[in-house]
Amino acid sequence: MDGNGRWATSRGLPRVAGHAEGVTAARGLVRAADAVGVRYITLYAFSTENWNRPEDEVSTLMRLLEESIYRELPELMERNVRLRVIGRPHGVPLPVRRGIDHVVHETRANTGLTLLMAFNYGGRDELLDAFRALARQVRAGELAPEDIGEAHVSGALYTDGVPDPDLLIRTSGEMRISNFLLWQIAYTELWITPILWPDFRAADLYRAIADFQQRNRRFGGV
Amino acid sequence: MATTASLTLEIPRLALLKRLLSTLVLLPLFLLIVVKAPGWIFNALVVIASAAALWELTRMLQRASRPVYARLGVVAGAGVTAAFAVGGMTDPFMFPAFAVVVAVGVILAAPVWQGTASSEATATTLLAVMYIGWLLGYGILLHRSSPRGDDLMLFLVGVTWVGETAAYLVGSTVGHHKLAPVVSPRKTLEGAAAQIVASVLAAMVLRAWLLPSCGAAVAVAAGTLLGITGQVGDLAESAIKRSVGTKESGGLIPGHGGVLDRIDSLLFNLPAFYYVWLAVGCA
Repeated sequence: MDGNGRWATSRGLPRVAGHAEGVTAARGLVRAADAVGVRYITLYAFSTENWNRPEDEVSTLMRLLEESIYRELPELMERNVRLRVIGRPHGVPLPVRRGIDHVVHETRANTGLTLLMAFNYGGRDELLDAFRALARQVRAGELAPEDIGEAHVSGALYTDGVPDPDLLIRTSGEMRISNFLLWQIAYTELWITPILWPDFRAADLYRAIADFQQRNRRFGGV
Repeated sequence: MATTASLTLEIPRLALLKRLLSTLVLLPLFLLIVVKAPGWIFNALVVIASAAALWELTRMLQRASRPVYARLGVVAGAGVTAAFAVGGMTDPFMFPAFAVVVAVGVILAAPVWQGTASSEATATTLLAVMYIGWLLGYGILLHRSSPRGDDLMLFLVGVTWVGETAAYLVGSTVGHHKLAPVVSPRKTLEGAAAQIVASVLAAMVLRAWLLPSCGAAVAVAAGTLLGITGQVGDLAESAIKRSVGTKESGGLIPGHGGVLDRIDSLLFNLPAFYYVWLAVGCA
């Protein structure tokens, strides 16, 4: 969800206004994806590197998140959406964590779209955590190093049980992955658009999906 | 059955029967191609319709002794339409824009090998390419812009045709006040109003069936817009026909006139609806 800050700055608004608009765009995306039967969406809300932003931007962002997560709960329930969070829980302000945990708990039995929110997330951190978990199993004698397969790594990631993404959409024209789902996106199709996240509309999602449907996925074969 | 009686006054019974039969054969075929056939068959159908309409338009111009590069117009226009089927969706206008640039260049250079220097032929050929080739390309674009492209297409075509039919039935039975006496003397204000009302009603019904994720307000707005732009498209084609002194664009579809007569409203409604979809994007 890149481009909130730029979107606001280009309109002469404070960066925080862009984040508020970004929440609206995210809500629209969930509705649009739900309408065409998408099963899983992962939103990159806040990376482990985002803590380096100016302190007042970070604290306002946290407050915005805390507010919006409660506000969205009724619609998530109505749409049968399940919220999951991927990322490290440590370091997240307690009120925000409580809010997230509450919504995750309330929606745990929903069977529709699964919305994964990458929060305080870093792709390398996720791999490190997975390797540590596997190493602990090896040390405990539950797993032999030569038996470690792709399934073990996948199962040790935050996204355990979630299929690898088919399509990765990156907004605001950035031509890099930025530490996102590094293991999971091995064969994910990329869709990069210059549109800034607050301007991202349902029609843009559908264009991306329509484009994806026309691609020939070979997974390394011919 | 006052309706039937006054209808038969307007057009001979046989023509009406022909029209009905053509509809009964062509409509299910069209629906089948939109819903069941792979995308490229739909695209091919649109390009063929584009070429046929371009051929009719250039023939009309030629019959009225207006200068036009007929073959060039058909090829360039169909090429522009086909270009909408090429390329990715990040920049869907990249190839169509390229095709237009090539078409404009070739048409302006045509006098070099055609042996006639006629700016009027250049103008009429460009008219054909942009009016039919470019506008009909939005049919391909709308259809492939969304995973719900089939539903968008059925919605648009349904609203347009219901609106047209309502305008025809109401206008030819109770219509009195002329809408555009110079361009199309048989069109009435009553028919125009009926088209807008019927388009809104059709949009509301079709929305509930085809596009449930769009709100009712979207349906009302889209129905109103399509009811208006469709008529403007119809009048625009009438104006071209009037300027060359003909009533039907051709005889390809029995009882319906030509292909261009059938798609005149769609030519305006396709781009209008594409931009509505782009702004609202609910399907």
